[in-house]
Amino acid sequence: MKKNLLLSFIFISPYLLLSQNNLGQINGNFETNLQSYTDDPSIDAIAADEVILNNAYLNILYTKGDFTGGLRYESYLNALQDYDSRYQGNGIPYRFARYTSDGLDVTVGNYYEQFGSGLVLRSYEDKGLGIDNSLDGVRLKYVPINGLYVTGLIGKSRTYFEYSKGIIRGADAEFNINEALKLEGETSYILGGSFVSRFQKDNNPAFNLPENVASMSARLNIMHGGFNYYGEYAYKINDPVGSFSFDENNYSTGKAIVNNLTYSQKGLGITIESHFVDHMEFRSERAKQKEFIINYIPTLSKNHAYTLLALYPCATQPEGEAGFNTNIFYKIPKNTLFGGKYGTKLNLNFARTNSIDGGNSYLNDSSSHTSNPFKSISIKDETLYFSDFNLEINKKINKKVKLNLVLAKQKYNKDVLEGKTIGEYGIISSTIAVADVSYKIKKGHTIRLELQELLSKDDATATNHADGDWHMVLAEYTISPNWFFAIQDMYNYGNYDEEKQLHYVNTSIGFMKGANRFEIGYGKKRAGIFCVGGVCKEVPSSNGFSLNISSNF
Amino acid sequence: MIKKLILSLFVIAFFTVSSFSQNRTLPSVKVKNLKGSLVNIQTIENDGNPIVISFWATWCKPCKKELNTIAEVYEDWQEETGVKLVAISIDDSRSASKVKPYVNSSGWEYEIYLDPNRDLSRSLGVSTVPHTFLLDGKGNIVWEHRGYIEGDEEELLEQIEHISK
Amino acid sequence: MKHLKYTISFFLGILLFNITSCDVVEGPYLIDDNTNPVDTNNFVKKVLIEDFTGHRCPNCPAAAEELASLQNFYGDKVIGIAIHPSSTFAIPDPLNSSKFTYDFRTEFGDDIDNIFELTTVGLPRGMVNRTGFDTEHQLGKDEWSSVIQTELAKSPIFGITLSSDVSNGNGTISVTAEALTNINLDKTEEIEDYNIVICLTENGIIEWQKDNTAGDIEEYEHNHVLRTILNTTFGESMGNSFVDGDIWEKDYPVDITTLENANENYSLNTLFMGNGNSKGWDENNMEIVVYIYNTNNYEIVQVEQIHLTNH
Repeated sequence: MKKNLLLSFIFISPYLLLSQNNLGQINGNFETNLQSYTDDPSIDAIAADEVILNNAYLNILYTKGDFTGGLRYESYLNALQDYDSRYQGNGIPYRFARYTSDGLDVTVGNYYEQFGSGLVLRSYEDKGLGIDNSLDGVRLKYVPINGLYVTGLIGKSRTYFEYSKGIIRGADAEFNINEALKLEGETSYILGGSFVSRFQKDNNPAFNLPENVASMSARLNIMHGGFNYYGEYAYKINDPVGSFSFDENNYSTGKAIVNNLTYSQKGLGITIESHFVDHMEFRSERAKQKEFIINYIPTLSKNHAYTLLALYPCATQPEGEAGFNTNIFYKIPKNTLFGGKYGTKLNLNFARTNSIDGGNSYLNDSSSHTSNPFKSISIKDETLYFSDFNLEINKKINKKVKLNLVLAKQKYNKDVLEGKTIGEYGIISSTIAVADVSYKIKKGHTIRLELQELLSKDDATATNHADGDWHMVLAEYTISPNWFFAIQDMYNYGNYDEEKQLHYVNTSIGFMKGANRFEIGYGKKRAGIFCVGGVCKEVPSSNGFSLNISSNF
Repeated sequence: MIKKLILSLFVIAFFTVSSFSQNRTLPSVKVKNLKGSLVNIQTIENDGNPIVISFWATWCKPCKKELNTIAEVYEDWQEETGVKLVAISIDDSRSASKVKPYVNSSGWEYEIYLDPNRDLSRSLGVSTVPHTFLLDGKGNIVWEHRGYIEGDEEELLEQIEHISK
Repeated sequence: MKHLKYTISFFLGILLFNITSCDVVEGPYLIDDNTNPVDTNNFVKKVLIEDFTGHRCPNCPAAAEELASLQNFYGDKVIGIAIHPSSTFAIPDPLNSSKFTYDFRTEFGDDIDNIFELTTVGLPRGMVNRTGFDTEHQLGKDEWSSVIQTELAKSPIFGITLSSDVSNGNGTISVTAEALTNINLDKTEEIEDYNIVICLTENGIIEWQKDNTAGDIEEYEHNHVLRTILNTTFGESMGNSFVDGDIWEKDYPVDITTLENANENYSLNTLFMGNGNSKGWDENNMEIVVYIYNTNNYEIVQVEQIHLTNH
């Protein structure tokens, strides 16, 4: 803690002493999220002991020429209920100094980095999900010749207010052939490779554990006209968790293969993405916990923005999964039968993920596992994890009315994706419809209405019932450029348990001016259980006021 | 002791803000263009005319609404004020491959960049999208706005007209 | 360009270092499967694992298995207590099924969880000698073994001797603690008490358990279940300074029926969804677990265990 402060002083103090001219610039942003929690027996919500919880962040960035220094003050007094309780107290867990000189880019302190699509390393920040695994150490980036970008780093990964035990070393090189050879052709090629290794001492007397665990990947990106192909292959050597029970120590190697192909031209876009992953969770410490994850395997499904479409969200199973995700974007031209005056936009999406053939690889057992990634994208025999077939239609009817419609059919393996007992909920099938209409009343004044419906069918073989059917209504009134008012009600009218057929009503008022934004809300949130990496966390239902303020300077 | 240190640090920091240069410019951060090349965001230019920088994502409804609305009047804006719009997608590797198909199918004429690990958005204090910045002809950030509600594009146009005179 | 040489050597260095330092373990994976018998003539440092668990927590059997493996390896040096705190995972579920009706919860387990907040982090979690309070004490099962290694390497400052004459639900437990070194003799200002806690646990309770691979297991063996604490949740003070060889001793009367009733009363009258179905204690499967901790940082400095009956 003291060290952090000292460091921040060292970063900041020189600039305070500099002469008045050309002091450089300071900017930053501030955000606070306050939430009150009151008892509400109707939804089993229990007031927090503290009554009010608060998360707040302040970023300060100083720039002068090629030099940048920055820090983030974080305050959790105490952390909001949907955050991990180990985010607690105040501190400056993020501070760095960075300069560039003759093309050499040096960062000392905390930094975020991603190699390729993140299969072997992704250190990032997502406050909404409570993720921040910044690395603390040294990073160098250099461009030795035109088109060749190299990165080398060494550091420890952040977990809450601590750093995990493993030391992470990594190197990445990306070679843009067209830039290097000054090719101007229609086809361009980019090659890349990464290597990441974690060191942690073996202090387990029962098992022979690898102290240096390496993970590596190679990638290729080819672009030709409207076509774009991206492929990446990643491999990880044996990476047992170091527990004492033989069954838990998996010595098998990990691999991941990603293939993305997209095509686009004016008015049309097509994407086909697929991946195969097996035992590919890479962690900063030899323990199977979500807070240690330092790689990223992109989820193969559409990231829905409407509440009921995202009620049962897909999550990647990095220990074993195969799947694909396809999209067609098409704009029906203006002045045609279906296009109307403004054209109509369509997005058809089909995504599916399932278990891999033969199960996840596991070196301590005797069953065989597939080594053919293509064989695994099988529709017939594998356990389904998630599927989503949906169509979105976006249409401007006239100058005043805009319409967005979505129709979706989803299947969700609640047992696997939420870490439940197999057979408890099984696969939940749901049909979802969303209609979103906005109407411009007069200049700057718009009213928007969202109607959503989710009809769900429980798994006949499962022992428990899921939540059943939902309605949702949202009404929003906005006055540009400063105000918005919204009220929404989620109603679980189809719950099997009549006592749980509840309304979750939320209201909010927001005020925006320039770089500042204020939002006050009041309402009820539903409970949920989130399981990642074999550990489950309950987020209780809650009832209360919320206040969000964010601003930039 | 530690609390005092923190406090004094912030007091100093806040007071000094006022004495620093008031001209905020873009940081020296690299983003990717749709050809996969790294580009320093400081190198974008528009012959001394204003530039709008809009952060967006393929999964963000209001972002797409904002950029689709502007797309309809973009030609008029360009003729009138010489403005250029640079749309920076914060899609990560889950959805980054959909950026180009989405942009092309929508027929956007903007300059598009990718910021997949949010290096640029972090440097500019963008915590949520959409977030729009307006740069004057000299590259100074003269206006910014969080969020988008219908009609906001008119305020943006007013701001552009104000500086392009 | 003056940096070029250094930069390239730096990157090459990292790359070479990485590639040459890849530890592929070809096997055998297991170094040593033997248990280490404890030398009974001298006091040795022992370690307590408090495993926070629940019968409706599907990931929890894996943690119980880890505890069993550790005990198998370290023998008597690793002692376990399974605490079923009042989170969703340990609440009986008589409304939705006939399976999870037993109430494993105790007043003592809930008090411990209120201080150490393991349920807020998610189960299964455990504490190893309660080290690392209050930021690094909530350990996932894979982190237990390395803390045990560190703890076992310390030399013991107390030795505990236990004896019991309990039979047919009644009797007395005798506890003797001996200082093995001079402790805090020169302490004048800061009061740092050592507290001693006397617990009863039970093994071999056959009840339902959720498991994320095997489903709902009807005849799951629940071990080390915390049943009661005889001298309040946080124990009683033994004082704060000791001369090598100092002896502290005390006898505790035990009446199983009274203790069972107190627990039933807690389940029936205090707890959410409590149903009083917490009885059926079998004294023949019970253990006495006694630990001494430093009240300053909650760290457990010594622990001992014996069977309640049949010596």
